[in-house]
Amino acid sequence: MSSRITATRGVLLRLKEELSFVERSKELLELKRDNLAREINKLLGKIAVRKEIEKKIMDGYEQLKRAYASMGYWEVKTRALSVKPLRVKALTRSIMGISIPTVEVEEQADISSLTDPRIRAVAEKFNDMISEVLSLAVIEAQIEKIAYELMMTNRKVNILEKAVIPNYKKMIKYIEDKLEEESLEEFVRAKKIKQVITRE
Amino acid sequence: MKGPGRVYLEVRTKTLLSHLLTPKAIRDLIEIDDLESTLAYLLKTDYTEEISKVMHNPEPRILENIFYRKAVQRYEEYSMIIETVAIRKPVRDMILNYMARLEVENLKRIIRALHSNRTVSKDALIPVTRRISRINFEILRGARSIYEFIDLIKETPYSKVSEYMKFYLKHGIPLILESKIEQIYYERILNLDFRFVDVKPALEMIGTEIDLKNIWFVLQLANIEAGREVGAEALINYAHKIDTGKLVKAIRDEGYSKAIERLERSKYSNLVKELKELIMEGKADYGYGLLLKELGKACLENLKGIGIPIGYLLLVDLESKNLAKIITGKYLKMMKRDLAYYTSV
Repeated sequence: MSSRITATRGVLLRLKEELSFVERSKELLELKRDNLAREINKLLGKIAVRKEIEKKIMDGYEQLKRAYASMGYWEVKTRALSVKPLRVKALTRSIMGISIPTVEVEEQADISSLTDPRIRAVAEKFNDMISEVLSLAVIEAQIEKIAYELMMTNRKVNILEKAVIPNYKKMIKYIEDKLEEESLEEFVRAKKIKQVITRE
Repeated sequence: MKGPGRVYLEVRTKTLLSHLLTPKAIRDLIEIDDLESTLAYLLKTDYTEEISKVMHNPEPRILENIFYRKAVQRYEEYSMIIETVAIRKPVRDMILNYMARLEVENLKRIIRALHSNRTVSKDALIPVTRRISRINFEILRGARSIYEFIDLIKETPYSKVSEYMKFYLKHGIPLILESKIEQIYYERILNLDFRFVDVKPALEMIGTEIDLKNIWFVLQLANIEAGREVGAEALINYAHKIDTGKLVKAIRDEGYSKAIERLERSKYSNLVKELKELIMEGKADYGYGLLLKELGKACLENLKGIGIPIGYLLLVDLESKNLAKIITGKYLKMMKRDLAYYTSV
């Protein structure tokens, strides 16, 4: 360490400033980490409905299977073509600097063209659940992004806490010791000079 | 008295009927456990060549096209027979016009796609040929809007559909145009001069089909609470065992519930009651199966006289539909009980 650092008061001051900056950064990162964790907890509560949605989807698929088998592949396919599709808007929102995706349903799919009850029931089921599925997908994407950011923030906090700050402290301590030693040497040297001058 | 041409036609058609899958064969197919075994069974039928080509990739969409291609091929062969046999003109026209049911199906599919400004792929259409249809589906398929479609269809026997454009645009339900196409199709068959020929068995079959379609129209439109005028306009105007005029009036004046009550008092009373219940229970698929069974029954009961050629054409169509359903059901691992409901046997 001694070979890399010049033990001067200037360096000591700079290091102390840097240390206080790093400590402040660490505090901010800890704050960010806590907020992200809180946000994730909030979102995790919302994905509890996943099971329920999965069940609905499975029911929907079961009904779709029945429609396919009762009408044939192309009949279902061409009837589905008459549906004016759902329109969504994909946006991004920022939570503590992280851009997270959101989806807004602009226009529900228009299933009024489907008159046959065999396929109408399926379309109604999927149309009803599409908003729920989309919001669940958005929540999951948000959790994924926030979790990644939380992991990165945690790593940064850990690096600051376990490596950067102790390193700074060690350097400051070293310079302080060195400077104290130097000032002691200076003091002794001055005393010796004074003794020599007094003897003469 | 039947002329030699009619006798020959009936005998020839009976031979062709023996090539179709029997109700027992359809039931056997339903009872088979998996898709591979079902295809193996079909390898022993008229579908050998086509099925053997797709054994490695048995997808329902491909198989369905095979079944419809076979139907088209059978219709083509039959049209060639019809053209060479000496039969009365109205009988010949009736049979040839009846074959247009496949083109009607295609027109309906194109309308559905154009309703949402989309186009239908070539695969999604039944590959009807020039021999059995004068409509150029390649051009119709390329229409970019329903307006363009209506312009193009003016060149065909279905030109009258354009009169209902305003009504369709007002309500936004493609069923309006679809039912008009069907109306024209049935008119082409029924408005022929049958004064000197006995077409009773054929009319019995066609009439039953129209009745069943009308029942389904009323029930499905009531189910979605469509406007009364839509229901009144969508019905196919032909009175067989249901007085369509009175039914239309009931819808227009009193609504669907009264019209259904009227149907419940008709000759199809039990069927309508059962259908109504099934739709309410969310089992419309079973309900539609009942209609097909009724149609299949009417077809088999009227396989006599002029009913033989018409019955043959109907059975060809039903066979392709039944097979498409069975194959799709097997592919999706549906229960045998459900498949038994969906077919016409």
